[in-house]
Amino acid sequence: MSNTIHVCQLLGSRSLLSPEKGRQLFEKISELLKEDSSIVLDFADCQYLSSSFFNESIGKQLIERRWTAAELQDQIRWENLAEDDEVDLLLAIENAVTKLHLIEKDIDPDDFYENNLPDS
Amino acid sequence: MAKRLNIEELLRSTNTHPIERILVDTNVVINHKNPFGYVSPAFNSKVTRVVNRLQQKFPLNATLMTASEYFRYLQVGYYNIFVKTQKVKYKKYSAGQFKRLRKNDEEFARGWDLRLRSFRLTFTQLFPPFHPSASIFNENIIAQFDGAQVDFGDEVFYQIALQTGFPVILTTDRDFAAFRDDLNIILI
Repeated sequence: MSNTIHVCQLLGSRSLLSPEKGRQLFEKISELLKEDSSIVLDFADCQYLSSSFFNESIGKQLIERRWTAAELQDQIRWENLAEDDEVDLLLAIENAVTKLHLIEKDIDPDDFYENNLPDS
Repeated sequence: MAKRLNIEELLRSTNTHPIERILVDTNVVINHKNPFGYVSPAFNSKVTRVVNRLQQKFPLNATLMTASEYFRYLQVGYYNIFVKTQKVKYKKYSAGQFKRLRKNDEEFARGWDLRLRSFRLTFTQLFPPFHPSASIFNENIIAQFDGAQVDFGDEVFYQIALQTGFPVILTTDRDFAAFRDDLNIILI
């Protein structure tokens, strides 16, 4: 069985940029996952999405549940995302896998990135 | 000093504004695309909001400088993060090391392909390239450059902006304020 979340309808906006909106979706996903069903996120009518929104709503699920990317994608699927937004979502998942790996090794992700990313 | 344009006033102004295009600095691309999830959520959200709003009214373009700086940031950042978090013997970044891993490590190649896909979409759809008609890489510019206020990349970026009718740069870098008043900046 799967539950569908109509993301823009749930969050009351076509513009999903803030981490707060991401956290609201995170809460809804967490609630539905307790029902032991998979989830489909329907992004129909969503116009603007940010990297932080995906990190807060979906990336954090992976980190908190200590999932692999494959386990996350077994539980959470999505539809009606534009290609560039879908790539941003996949990157949020990849980045969450890296952050979880760092956390498990007791390394502070912020310090790690600070020391390993080139100057912009 | 470069003239600082107010975002709200720009968005309120009528369509007769002389801006023909806005050139996007590399730091805006990094903070907007957030390719490693490292940018603070509040700042990523702020930069994304500004980019989306300006894009509704003006063309936002990248330059060759922007794309090549961003590519380098992606390539070196991705390499460093991968080799230090996976079971790969760490060797300092080099183009040769990068190519070897891409060829021999399936996981490295898969993650890189995703970033490359994002790179292509960013510079074909979101910020398509602007090519100045005049060459900005000439002896005069190199002879006059002293590096006191800005680095060479910023100087070239400024020269490219001057090739547009109404030069505007969108940036998060306050150093651009040091340019002459023939430049307009939108500082996030």
